[in-house]
Amino acid sequence: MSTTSGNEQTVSLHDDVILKIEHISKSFPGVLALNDVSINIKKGEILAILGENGAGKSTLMKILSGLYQYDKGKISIDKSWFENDSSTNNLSEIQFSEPLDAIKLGIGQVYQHFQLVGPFSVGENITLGKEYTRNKVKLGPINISLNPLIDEKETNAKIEELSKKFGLPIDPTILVEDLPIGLKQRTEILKQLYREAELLILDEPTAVLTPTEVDELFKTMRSLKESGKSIIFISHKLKESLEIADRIVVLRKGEVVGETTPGTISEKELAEMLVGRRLLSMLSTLERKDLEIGKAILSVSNLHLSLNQNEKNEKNEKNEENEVFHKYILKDINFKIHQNQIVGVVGVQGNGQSELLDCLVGMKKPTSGNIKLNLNEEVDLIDFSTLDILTSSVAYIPEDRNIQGLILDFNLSENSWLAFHGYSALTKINYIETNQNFFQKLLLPLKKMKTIAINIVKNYEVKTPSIFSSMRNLSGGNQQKVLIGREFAKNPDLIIAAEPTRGVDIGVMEKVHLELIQKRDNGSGILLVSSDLDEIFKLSDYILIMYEGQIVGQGKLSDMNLDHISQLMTFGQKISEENP
Amino acid sequence: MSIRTDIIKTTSIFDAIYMVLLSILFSVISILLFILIITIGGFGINVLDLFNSAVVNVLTDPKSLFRIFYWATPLMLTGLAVAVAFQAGLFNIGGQGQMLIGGVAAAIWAAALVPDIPLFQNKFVMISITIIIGFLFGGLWGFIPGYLKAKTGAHEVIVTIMMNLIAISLVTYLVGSQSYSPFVDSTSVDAYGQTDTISEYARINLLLPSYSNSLNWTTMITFAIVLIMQIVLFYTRYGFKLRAVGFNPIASKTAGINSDRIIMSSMFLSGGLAGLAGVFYVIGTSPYRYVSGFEGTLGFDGIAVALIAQNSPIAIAFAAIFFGFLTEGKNSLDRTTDIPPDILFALQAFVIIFIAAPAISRWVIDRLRAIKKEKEDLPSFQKEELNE
Repeated sequence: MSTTSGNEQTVSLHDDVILKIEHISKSFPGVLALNDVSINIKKGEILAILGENGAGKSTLMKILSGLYQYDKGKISIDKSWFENDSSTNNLSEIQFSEPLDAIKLGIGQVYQHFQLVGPFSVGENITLGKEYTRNKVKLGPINISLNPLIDEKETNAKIEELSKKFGLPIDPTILVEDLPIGLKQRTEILKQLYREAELLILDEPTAVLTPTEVDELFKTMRSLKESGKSIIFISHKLKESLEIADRIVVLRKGEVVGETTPGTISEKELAEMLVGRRLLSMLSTLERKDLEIGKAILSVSNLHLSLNQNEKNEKNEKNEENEVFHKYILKDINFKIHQNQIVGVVGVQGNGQSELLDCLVGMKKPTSGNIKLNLNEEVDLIDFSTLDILTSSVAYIPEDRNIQGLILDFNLSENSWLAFHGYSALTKINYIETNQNFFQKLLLPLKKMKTIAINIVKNYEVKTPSIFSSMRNLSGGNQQKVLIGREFAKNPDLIIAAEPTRGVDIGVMEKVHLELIQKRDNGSGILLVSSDLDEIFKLSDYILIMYEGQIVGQGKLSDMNLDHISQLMTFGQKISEENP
Repeated sequence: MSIRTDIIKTTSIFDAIYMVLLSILFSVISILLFILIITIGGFGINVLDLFNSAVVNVLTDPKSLFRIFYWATPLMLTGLAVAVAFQAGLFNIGGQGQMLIGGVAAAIWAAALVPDIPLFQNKFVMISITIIIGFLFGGLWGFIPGYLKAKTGAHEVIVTIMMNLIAISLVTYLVGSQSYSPFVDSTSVDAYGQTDTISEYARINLLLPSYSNSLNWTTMITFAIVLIMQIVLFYTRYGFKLRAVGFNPIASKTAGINSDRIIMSSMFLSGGLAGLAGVFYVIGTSPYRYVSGFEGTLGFDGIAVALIAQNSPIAIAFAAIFFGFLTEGKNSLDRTTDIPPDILFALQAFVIIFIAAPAISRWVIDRLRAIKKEKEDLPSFQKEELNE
């Protein structure tokens, strides 16, 4: 191995460390994102990098993928992977200058937001960039294709071979856009394996998955580990890290604060390491009063929604044969939300929860049925526009904050005003004056916008350089805080919260949970849709179980048992009833 | 969306103006290099002559100087038209047609249709009404694509292109020939392509009659409109919603903003502004009538102006004045030298390229900064060596 500069060293190690990160520092203007971070990754190991939002996980990952350049330190990699020479174990320093370098070095990234082409098939997506073409001619070491058309047969055969080898079954002919999230992720993983990645980096891979899909993913990860791949599992979820990882490295504020193995540490100790001491009191238990429920403020009865899109229906039929994917409509939804009550909706993602929310806030018109809001007087929400509903003391936290919730190119102040722009003169809202003159009606109330934004930043400890900084520059957790802050600032009687803590760290999560409980105690009714079952069980008084667009079970949480719920979630009925 | 996020990285006026100045600087350097090359190649252009004619003459002669603003006026309006639509996430390339329709509607009203009653023999009333008519008709021409976009999803780019063609045909019909249109110039037998002169009362005064026979009050009105549009877009509730829809239609809809209404109204406003460019020509330029061909490519140049100014109204005023300056420079070159005025077209094109590819400008700046930083980072003894 040749050395080009004095700094570069060739290190031989006895253990099988394949990637060595040494004293890496990276700063952004005003922020030290990573400070003297050193991590080793061994062959055939699952290493969890655990940290809150803003702890530096993403920065570290982007450095490993070549997207960011680091300021200090060095990264060494075991090049014997590529030279098919397993006798030596040589670590040599590498420099990433672009993402392609990482791929060449066998580092494969699976991002939280998938990098897939929807209308392409699974096979096409996996082979994209390294396609199999027809009529190949071998000219020395180079394959030259006389026919640039893609050889689908060979592609599919290769994918099937690959998926068999790693135990990741998938049909290479299905279009990616028709796949559920879990299989999209599997496609991503296969894509990296196809590129002969030896080290897989999974960024918050479970954030978007249902419990069953998480189990599947963990199985996948274990089988990859057995075949000798190394995996970095980036997460902020303690339980999952404890379950899957061989080793856990905890990052806090850009520094490695500890390294541990799952067997030797309890969840509580790990949490302490993760968040520091400040949150321990909050983490222990959430105090909640047992409250009598008040009157019903939202009554949904006989709600139906049909898609009426022939094209999509055809697709459904096609896919039902493959038993991969179903698209749902709503069928005969009936439920009530009372004051002082949190109603949790559980169900595997894509069973009609999103459509139900759309109906409730007026984004979709139901085919039939009634939605009645009963605050001071009973009103029928069916005829209301989204704006009418949102200004009727209803707060809505949409499930996808980047697309539905926030306008990333707007600044914090403008984003918080999004919740208030529709009020003309409502006394209940502190920020809105009842009497507005002509100019006040016309012009943006900059002072009030400022007050609202400052209050949100203060109340929710949003970390931002200024209330006028672009939303895009805030971290995910802080974006969520702004979204929740602005909706709660409306002082709502009914809160519709979808995935209120998706992708946020424990600190923010506890804060949000506390807020929800407080709102409930103060008389609000809350509809909580979440793919995080722990969250539902922790917060809900009453739960609805959705399966294929129907509510297949509902009742007080205290009356339900977990087996029962999970059977309803996955089969739509209790198994004992299915096989009498 | 992709166009938007690439171009509109900044909302600050200062950033926008900074980018304009920077790209002009780069363009001038490029054009000088270009001239250098063709000089070496044997096609000599005397740079001094060029500078004298296109810059010194223009800036020292008050008539020329004021004409810059005259040329800039319609460009500001068509530029604003593009910018308003762009802020709402729409690409209105129908400015040309909207301008024609606004101009011809105002001219027909003020030349042929205006009733002979005392109310309309008042300059203030007549000018106001003429302007409003032009605005409404231009707005209507913009509203149609907006309506189709909101209700049926028809892409505004395609519809506005088609609306341009319809506008040209319609105008040709309206002012084409006396044999089929009553609105064509009646003072001459074989008149073609122009209306009668408009009512005395609809004509707007020259701004500085003793200095300039072209600059008129429409320029001042346009400056006022620029300010108003800056306020509308960034300081009103309507502008807030408009920009919200432009940035993220889904989040806007989820927050209860009626995006259909914003799409239709912003296209109306956009068309109206382009229509004003037509009206202001008719009421402000001698011989005070609609003349076919006045429009040149003003409507399309508005796209370039808006692009350069990154859709910020105040920066649009600067960009339009710069374009006016180039236009006057071209005229001056044509009058006083043998240098082909097209060299300034090339300059104009360079400016657009540098703006449209901000990465080039940023790359140059970053390089310069990096070099500067390297020097600063050197140990002090080396710095001293460098200084010596």
